[in-house]
Amino acid sequence: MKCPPLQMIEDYLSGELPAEDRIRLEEHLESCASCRKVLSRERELDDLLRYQPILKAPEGFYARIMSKLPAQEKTAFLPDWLTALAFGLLLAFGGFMVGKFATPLIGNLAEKIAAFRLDPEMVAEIDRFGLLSQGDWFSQLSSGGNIIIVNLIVGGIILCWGLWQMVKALRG
Amino acid sequence: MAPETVIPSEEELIRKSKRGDRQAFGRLVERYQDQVYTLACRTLGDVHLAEDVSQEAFIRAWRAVARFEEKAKFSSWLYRITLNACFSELRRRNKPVDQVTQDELGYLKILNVQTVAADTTIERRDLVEKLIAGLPPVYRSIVVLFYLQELDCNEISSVLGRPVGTVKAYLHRARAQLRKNAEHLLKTRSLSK
Repeated sequence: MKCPPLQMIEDYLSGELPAEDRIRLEEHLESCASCRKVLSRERELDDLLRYQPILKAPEGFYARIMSKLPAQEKTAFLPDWLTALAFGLLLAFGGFMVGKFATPLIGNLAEKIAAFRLDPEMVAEIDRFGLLSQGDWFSQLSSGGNIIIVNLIVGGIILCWGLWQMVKALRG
Repeated sequence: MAPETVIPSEEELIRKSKRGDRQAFGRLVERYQDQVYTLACRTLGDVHLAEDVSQEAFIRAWRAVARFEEKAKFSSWLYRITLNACFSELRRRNKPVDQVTQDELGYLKILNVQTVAADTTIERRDLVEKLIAGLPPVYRSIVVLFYLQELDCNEISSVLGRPVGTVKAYLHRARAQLRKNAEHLLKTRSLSK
């Protein structure tokens, strides 16, 4: 082994050198007087640095802190995972309810609008690009079914996240 | 017979502090006040400023303790808050965090004369304090955390929020600087043996 870099000797002293390197270094130190000198110099520096005293906090330090402590920030009423879980359930359920009860209403509205655009001449005049005659996309979109699906997907994602957080909290 | 007093564990004190128990937090302050004050003193190099900043650090810790994740080490979390408070105070005063100021350089010139006599424990302690004061603030904080609080490089990395490699490089540079400044003393001590 060649003479090691200084960093390796520092890691050796702090106990951070892997076992394999430590053995190699110790073997090298036996035969190299100049590295032994470096090691002894570094050890002296280490010893010196460990001489730092812990300073005593000034008198009244504790009392001053305690007198200054403000009202603690209120923590959330519910933990994150429970909020997510409740929100997810609410959204999914809400989606279902909106879909179930609002469909006839939206359907009616769609029918009225559909009836309004039944006059082919009027449609042709307004709809120069043929968008409205591409089928009853509007009544499909507003039928309520899509609302349920979107709500169930979003609710489901939040629900899964909430469940995952709950599992983590219970494990941790 | 004196009543038995049960010393609450740190975990218990943290849990109670999270629920807003001032008394429990007070016990944590008692437990860590010297370490936090020492870290602030060394990093800032000014005892009066360190007193204000370490008090501020405890107040910040109290405000944030509800968000403290118990898997982390409380002392490391507290040191992180302390150092953030120290570094922001230095920046507020336009003092560099990773360089030595002219005042500190001047201080070192005087130091080289004083090192010769540092033989007793008190003198050595005084010397090491002065040597550390000659380093840039961020190096000082690393030296305190490593040698005094006995944190390893991984823990210091999480306290400082800098990569382990950077911490190791800083520690290496800090030692090089300290060695250079302490060389005179070490030579004198070796000769006297």
